[in-house]
Amino acid sequence: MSKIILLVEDNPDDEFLTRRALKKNNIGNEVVVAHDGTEALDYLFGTGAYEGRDLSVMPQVILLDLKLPKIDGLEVLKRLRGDERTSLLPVVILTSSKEQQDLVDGYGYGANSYIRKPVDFAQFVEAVRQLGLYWLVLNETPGQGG
Amino acid sequence: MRLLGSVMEHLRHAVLAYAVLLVALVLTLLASYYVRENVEASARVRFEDTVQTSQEAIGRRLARYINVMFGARGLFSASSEVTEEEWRGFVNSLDLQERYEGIQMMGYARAEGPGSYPITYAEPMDRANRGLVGYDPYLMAADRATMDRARDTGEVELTGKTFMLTEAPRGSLSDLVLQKGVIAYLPIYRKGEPRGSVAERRRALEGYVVSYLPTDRVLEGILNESYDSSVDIEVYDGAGLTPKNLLYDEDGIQRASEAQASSGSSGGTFAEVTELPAGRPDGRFSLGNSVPLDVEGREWSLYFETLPGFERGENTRLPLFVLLSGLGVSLLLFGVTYMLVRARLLAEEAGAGLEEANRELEVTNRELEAFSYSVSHDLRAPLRSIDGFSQILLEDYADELDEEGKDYLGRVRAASQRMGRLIDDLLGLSRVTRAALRREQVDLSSLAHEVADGLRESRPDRAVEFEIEDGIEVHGDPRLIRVALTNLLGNAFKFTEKEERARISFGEDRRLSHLGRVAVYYVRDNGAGFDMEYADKLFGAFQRLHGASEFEGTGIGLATVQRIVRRHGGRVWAEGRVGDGATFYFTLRSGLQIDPSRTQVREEAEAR
Repeated sequence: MSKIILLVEDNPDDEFLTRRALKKNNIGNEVVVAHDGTEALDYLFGTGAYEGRDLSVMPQVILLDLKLPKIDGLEVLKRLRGDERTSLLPVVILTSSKEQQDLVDGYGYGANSYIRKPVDFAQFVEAVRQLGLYWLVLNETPGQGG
Repeated sequence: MRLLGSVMEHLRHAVLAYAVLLVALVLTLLASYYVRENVEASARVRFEDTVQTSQEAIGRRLARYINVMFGARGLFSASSEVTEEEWRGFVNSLDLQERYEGIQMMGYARAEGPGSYPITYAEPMDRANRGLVGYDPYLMAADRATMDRARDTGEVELTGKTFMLTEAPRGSLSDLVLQKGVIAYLPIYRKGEPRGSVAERRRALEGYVVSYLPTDRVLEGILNESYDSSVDIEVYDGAGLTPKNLLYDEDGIQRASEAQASSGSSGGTFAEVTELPAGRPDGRFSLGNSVPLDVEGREWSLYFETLPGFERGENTRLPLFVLLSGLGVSLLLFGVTYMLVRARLLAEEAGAGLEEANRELEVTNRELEAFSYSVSHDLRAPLRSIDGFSQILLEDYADELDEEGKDYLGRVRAASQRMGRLIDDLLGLSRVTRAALRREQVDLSSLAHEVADGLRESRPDRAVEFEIEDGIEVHGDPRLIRVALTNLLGNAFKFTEKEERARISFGEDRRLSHLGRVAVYYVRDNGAGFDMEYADKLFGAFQRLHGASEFEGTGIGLATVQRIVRRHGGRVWAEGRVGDGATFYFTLRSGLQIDPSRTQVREEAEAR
């Protein structure tokens, strides 16, 4: 079974670049993209556009941007952690911001990792390679084993 | 509205100060008035006391002097005839000098016939009295009336004011002096004859005991005994206080008539107790009083007045003292209250101003926060696209691009990455300005070592010699100081890139520390250096003295250093020569301004 990556990203350029970085690193996992916070929550809880989705299928890792339309990334993270169905999902914050407060808040709300998107695309590709390796290959998650 | 409010507030507080002043003044006036009343009352009591004592003393003495005449009358009733020797013996036995000081003469006037009462005996027989023998006072109208009255009543009667010869006091040029006084007559009746009625007494009259009483001497005796010398006494015959009637004046200045003149009454009689208005024209505290004295049926007037010396016995300056010191204290209280009120007002204003400034600062900070968040997030996103898609072009369309096209794309990428760094540095600079300063003990030496190690690791290909002085500790914000030191050492590292034997040193310049009275630290390198002409441009944001192709960098590092140093209250400046390295000095506390001409150190541009 393919391990799904949920990419929560509103910027189409960034979405494209992230997909390309994944591809560059030969990470062929299915990528589900949510373009704002609401869509992300709809996907995770099977509501709205994702009504009736098989909720037994959960992403292996969520790549979460912080600055999002409607519901921002931190709020999404808070709701995720507040629901037992999603409370244990690995969440990697992938954002432009290097603000201390965002880091503190991100980890405070239960993010598993915090990666700042570099401007240099080569560096970005390298970062995606590492997080793919870690979260999709090395990391073991409860309930998804076997 | 706010101005009006503050004015009202001010008035409200000032009113408090004025109220304090008013209350204090009222209390002072009351206290002064009370003290004054007290002093005056006590003075009045003392004066009244003196008046009464003196009045009684005078009365007693006159009574005693007159009673002695009854003794003389007894002499006549005891013997059929009194000889001159017997009279002299009697008078001598009285010891006038000692016991009846001031009596000029005790005499006997014998009835020689109708209307003839010549003085027969006059003792003591001195020069003044010798001439009296044979003199008939009955020929004098005033004496005659008194003698007739005495004859009719059988009692002692006194003449009004008269003059008599007396022995001159010792040291006087003349032998005899004429003195004012009164003469007392006591009738002597023949033994065995009835004297129940006036007619019988007229028939039985044998003669008179005559006593010459010069008032000055008689009263002087009394008043010397126990008398308050700060009260003047004048004795007048009758009720009129006129010079004509003056019998005795202690100090020779007739104050009674003066007082009458000043109080506007024209020599009329005084009431039994007449109080002159306290406070004379010259403003002196004074009391005056006139009391009657009955001397054997004749009315005398005693006039008392306080002399300037009287005040000394009383704290007459106390009311003034209370008034003045009260005024002083009142003003002081007012001043203190006013100052307190002002201080509080100013503090309140300052507090309000500070609060507002704080609020504004908070708003500004929040706005800055939001701004830098946007910069951080939104400005970088397009850059990522530019860089990312340039890279994609280079990768996916390499075949369709010639070398020139690839070079251009490379430049696009370099530029976008550079802008990314600029944004990061700017954010860092603004963070340095915004973050709260938390001072603690910082080991500068080990911090420098850490930074140096980091730099060496970043460029393992370079051989740079770091020379770091040990044991330098400062009090400052460790995070900010690390940023500053990273920038300074990073700069030195960068600008020595072209040196074969790069050397970077960090330490404290003791000489400058001594001059500036504050520790001066330095970072020195032997790198590219700079032209002192542009020294003050070093610390401006985006100011660079070298082309981007020569040395990389955003031109924000030194601006960041300067902000950090200034936030610590210190200064940063630099000296250098092109091709001969640079030295950056900095302090982390305020100290004396170091004179650049003496130290040959170019100061940073004055802080605004």
